[in-house]
Amino acid sequence: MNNRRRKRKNRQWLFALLFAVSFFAAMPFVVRALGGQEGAPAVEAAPPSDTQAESPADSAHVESGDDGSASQIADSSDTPGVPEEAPENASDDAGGISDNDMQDQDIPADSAPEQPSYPQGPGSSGNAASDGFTTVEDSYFDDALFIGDSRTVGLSEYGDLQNADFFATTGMSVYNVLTETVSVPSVGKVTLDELLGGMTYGKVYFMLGINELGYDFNSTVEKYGQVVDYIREKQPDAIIYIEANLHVTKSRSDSDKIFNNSNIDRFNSAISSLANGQDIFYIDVNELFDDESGSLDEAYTSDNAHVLGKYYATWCQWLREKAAA
Amino acid sequence: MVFSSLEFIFFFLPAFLLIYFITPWRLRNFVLFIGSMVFYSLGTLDQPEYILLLLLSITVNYSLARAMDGRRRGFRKFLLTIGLIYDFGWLFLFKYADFFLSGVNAVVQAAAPESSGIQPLGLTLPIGISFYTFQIASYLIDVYRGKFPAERNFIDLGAYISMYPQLIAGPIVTYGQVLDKMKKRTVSSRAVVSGLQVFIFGLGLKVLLANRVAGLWTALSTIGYESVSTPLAWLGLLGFTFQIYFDFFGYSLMAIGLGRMLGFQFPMNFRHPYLSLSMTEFWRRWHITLGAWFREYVYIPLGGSRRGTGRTIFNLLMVWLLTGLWHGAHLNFLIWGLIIFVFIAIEKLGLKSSLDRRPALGHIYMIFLIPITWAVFQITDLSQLGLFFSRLFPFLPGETAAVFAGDFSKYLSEYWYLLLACLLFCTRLPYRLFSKGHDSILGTIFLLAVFWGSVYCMYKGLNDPFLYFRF
Repeated sequence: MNNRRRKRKNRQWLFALLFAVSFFAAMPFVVRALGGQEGAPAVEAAPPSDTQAESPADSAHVESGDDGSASQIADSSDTPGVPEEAPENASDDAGGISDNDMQDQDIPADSAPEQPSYPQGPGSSGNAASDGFTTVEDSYFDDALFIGDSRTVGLSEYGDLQNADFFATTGMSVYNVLTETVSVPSVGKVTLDELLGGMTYGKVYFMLGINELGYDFNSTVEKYGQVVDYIREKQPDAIIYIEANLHVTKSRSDSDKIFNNSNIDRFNSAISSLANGQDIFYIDVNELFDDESGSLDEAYTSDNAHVLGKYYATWCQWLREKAAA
Repeated sequence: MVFSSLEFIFFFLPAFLLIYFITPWRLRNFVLFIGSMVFYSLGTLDQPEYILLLLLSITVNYSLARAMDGRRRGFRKFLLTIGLIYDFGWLFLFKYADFFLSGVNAVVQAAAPESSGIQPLGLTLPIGISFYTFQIASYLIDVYRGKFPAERNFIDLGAYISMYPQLIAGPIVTYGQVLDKMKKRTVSSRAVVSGLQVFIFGLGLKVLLANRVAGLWTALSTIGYESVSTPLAWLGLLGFTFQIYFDFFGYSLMAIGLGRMLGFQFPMNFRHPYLSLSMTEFWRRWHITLGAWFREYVYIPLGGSRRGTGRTIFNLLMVWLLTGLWHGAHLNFLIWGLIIFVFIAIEKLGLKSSLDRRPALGHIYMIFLIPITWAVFQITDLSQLGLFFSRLFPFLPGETAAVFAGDFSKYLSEYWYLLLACLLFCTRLPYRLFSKGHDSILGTIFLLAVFWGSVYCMYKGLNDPFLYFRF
């Protein structure tokens, strides 16, 4: 009897000991994560570096291998790159610029374009793409492919472009679009490489970038350019539509240090310069859903970041009117 | 600051425990009081004045209770009335004033359509005010009733009211339940470890079940109810049914575990509510300390069930309207309370006894009824609520927009394993295994895995509600 009781008590100490070890082992990570939370916006100011560009790609690698619970957690780690990077950035930013100053600097559109290292097409400018669009029939989308994140998933599920193909998953980013396997209706489970190798598309619509906002800006723009180059190479005859990332609502934008409209605008502005007005066009759906503050109108959304199911049809109608002539 | 955050687990709690345990026990209530004030101020950085409100509340009730000592009954009643008006006055101002004003405006506008109505106050609700108001009112009433003498030590009373383990989300502890421990308590290392184990178990329910299954309900609102298929509406509601349980139960367990680490024994707040056979039973198993409060301070003073059937039904109606309002100042909470009242009243008139005799029927009845009441609870906008019901019951009229035909199978394939885990944790089995084997090797492995998993999730999402929110 006595013996048994003592045994149990010892086991409790085993728990206490292992818990203490776990606790102190986790401590450095926690300190780093919480330290990074405050410095998060400084990420954008960070100089591009190879390590930063690699870390998201690594996580993409992990994601593609798993399913089920593990992948759900791993996928949601679009942000964790941020806290890891932030502390060193915080020290970079020795001038003592506050978060607010940083934000303010980002707002004027013309301060944004730090030119991407991607070689630009001829005559590229944001305006060139807005000219000369025409309205088309549904058959226009028979040979169209949409590549994107959850916003494109919404378009495939709740939109009414029945004939188009969709290569989209929630959490998709330029860092994992080349490694992710996606189930494309009528094609099957494929990687983008397999899909583009097996099919010929006349139009490729491409909307990515919001999941990447926590990563280094220049690395993401560069990677984005590489993915567009890759699509160009695999589908030489297709028209590529670079789609601006949908804004978030003002309330989300004002309270989020990463997923805010000044970061979205800055990124959209950078990718718009990839358009050449010949076979690469830039289209911006925000003109459809913005309110007067240049944010996603609260009336169209309940989660501040996606339009409600019923508005994807409106979006599709807008796409029909935005075909390159 | 919530318990399920890295800040709390890795900084506040260890720092607090260290100071608490090196302090001689005579001063521990003081440490607890100060620690709770720090905890509360960390949670209300935007409204530092709310901490004064809490301190003032403690002071006023402390003084009123002291003033009752040795006075005549009439005077004591006068003091009690002042105290209750004071306590519930603040609660009304912060929680219900705008709801009341919108009601007044609706009436005024019906009479005089031209009038602009009164501007809403738009006050931010002080964290935990619903809970601490109920605790402090119970203290004053109990002193008035002579259950125990008024507390002479301000620190002891302050530590009881503000005690951070239960300050912001219960359980609602009455002073009588902790009085002895307030005066003298010992904490064995065994109790600290077992409190920690309970805390981790609760943390797991909150972070690994509630927070994750929450994505299902979020998805429904993101899509918009008009575009949700009927099967998905039910699946999402099932997800929410689990979410609200493990969120609240997990939080209560964490509170109980923390209490045990400090030498207290808090009352159990949930006892497998989803295994109930009737609404009556459900509310004896769900948020038990709230039900007990309403029973003790509203239902029984009104006469309980001793004044005939008509009066009993009326008393139940009062309790359930107030319970509904306690949960939130919106019309839907009143409707929610009314629905529960109707079912409890019907059960009281005879349905319950026949359900108790037929467990299978009771389970089926509750499997439908519980989620439906949660839908009314969760959707505060009445037109949205109507819309959601038209999805649950497609024969009801309601707007339908584009529905994605594969939505049910999509979300089922994403969430089935979580839903199964939730279902398992609604039964008694995991808790039996836990209480038997928490010190065994397997129990140790399980708890450490839960701790690691929870920390991992908190780390990845930084406890952001948008953890499972990806674009």
